Amino acid sequence: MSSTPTVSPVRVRLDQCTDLERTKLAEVLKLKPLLGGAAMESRLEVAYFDACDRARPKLAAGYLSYGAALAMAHLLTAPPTKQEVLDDVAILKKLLFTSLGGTPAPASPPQPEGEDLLATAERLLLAHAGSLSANGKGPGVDPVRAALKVGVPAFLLLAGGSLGPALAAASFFGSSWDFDALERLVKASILMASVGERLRLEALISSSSQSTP
Amino acid sequence: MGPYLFDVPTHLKPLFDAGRIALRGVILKDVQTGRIVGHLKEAGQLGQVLARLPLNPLSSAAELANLVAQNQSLAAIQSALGTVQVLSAVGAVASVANLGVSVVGFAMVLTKLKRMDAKLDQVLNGLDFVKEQIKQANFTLDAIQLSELRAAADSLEKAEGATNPQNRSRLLGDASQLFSKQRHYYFQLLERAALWPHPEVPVDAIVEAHARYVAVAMGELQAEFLQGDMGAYRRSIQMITEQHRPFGTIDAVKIFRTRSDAALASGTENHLKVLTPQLAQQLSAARSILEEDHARIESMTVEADYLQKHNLDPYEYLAELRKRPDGFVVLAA
Repeated sequence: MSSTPTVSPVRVRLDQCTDLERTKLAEVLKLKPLLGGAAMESRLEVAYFDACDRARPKLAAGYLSYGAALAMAHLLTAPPTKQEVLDDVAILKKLLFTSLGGTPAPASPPQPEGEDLLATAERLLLAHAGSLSANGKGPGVDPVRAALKVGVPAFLLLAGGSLGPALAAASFFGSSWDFDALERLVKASILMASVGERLRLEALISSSSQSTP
Repeated sequence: MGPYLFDVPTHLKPLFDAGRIALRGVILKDVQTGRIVGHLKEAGQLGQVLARLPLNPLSSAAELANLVAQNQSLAAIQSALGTVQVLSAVGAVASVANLGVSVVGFAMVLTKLKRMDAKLDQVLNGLDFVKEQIKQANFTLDAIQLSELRAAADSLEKAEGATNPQNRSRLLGDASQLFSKQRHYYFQLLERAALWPHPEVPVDAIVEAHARYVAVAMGELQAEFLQGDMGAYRRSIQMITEQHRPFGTIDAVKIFRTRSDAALASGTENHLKVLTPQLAQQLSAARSILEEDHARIESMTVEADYLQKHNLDPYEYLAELRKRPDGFVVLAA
């Protein structure tokens, strides 16, 4: 689902996070109250992978979807790199424009460094306000949740080439998909991608000073 | 030629040839032992040529590269520097720019002091936390007057040309006093405002503030040097070296992490915006520039030793160096 990352992936362990990053991760995963030290890390690990487990059966049941792949393929194994998340968003953007909106896909500008992913998703959805309105959605809808809802049938439409399965999928996912779990996973993945990027750049800074005697 | 060394000293030649000497700023080091083996000094009109280069190599890398490419003297020096290993993240081009920050090349500092603009002050004036911190130190950013810096530079320049010893001494005293006051202002600013962790403060602005501290400190030292009291000059070097020591290096990784956390605290949407390769590269380069600046200040006692050892008058020393062909010379440590 992702193109080849342009940077070496940096996988993140919780003990590599700063206190603030761990706190934010706990907030994203709705883990309260916060505990300190190893206990907190343990709780975070459990919450993180529990959220993954709650979404996993949908994949096991064979409901292949872009939205699921976006959230799951990375998160069931390890958090994505920043580049992978950017690639995912670019693919989702293409899917949305070509399969749902009915408008030609505009030339996609290069993703600026550090562009906010949630803001990107929101812009995509606002650009498709017409399609969303037709489905009873409008501006103000949660961008990540809506992106997943739109992305799932969009993928099926492209993959199956038929409107029927796509509508069926939209109906299915709209009613039974655990969007709360997916939303948390996507937000957590974005945060962890940021941490991975921080670690990668810190390693670059460190390596640049190692030639000094 | 007298006691001056206008070529690589004989005993250092084998080290040069074997690539065992590395350059950090104006300091030549033995790569294997880390020992300082020599110091580069500008000769001829090189200081005037270097004066055209920007004060802060970090903010004008493209301009710097362009100037070096267009100037035969600078290109030749860069080529000569290419024979030694350059221990700097800012690279050989910026090392060329930094060569002028020494007593011998003070013409460069004078010119650059006169070229300072108000951009840095505008950046700092827009930051409430900076204003609050320096207010507690009982001064304001307005106290750091560019006009005062230029007046100090003018006094120094006039002193170099003065033929009346009393007039010269007065001008040097004035310059020293003005530079010293400005140095303390910049010290207070850098120490109290602690600019590095704040993502809203551009790295090149902080490097510029440090470059100004170094420039006014060099102005003060130049005034002391020309007054000819090597004891007072040496003491000034020691005091400035100690004052500058906390600024002489930064923990670039820690700063990067702190800036990352500050951005995350203000919202996850800001986090990825801060985490850029450009910031990482700027912090690496800033660390290198600061380390070079500190090494340069600290090594100035070696030059004082050299003058005392050979019983040289500062004016004669400067005049002799300026008569030489454009380039650099090596003083053996």
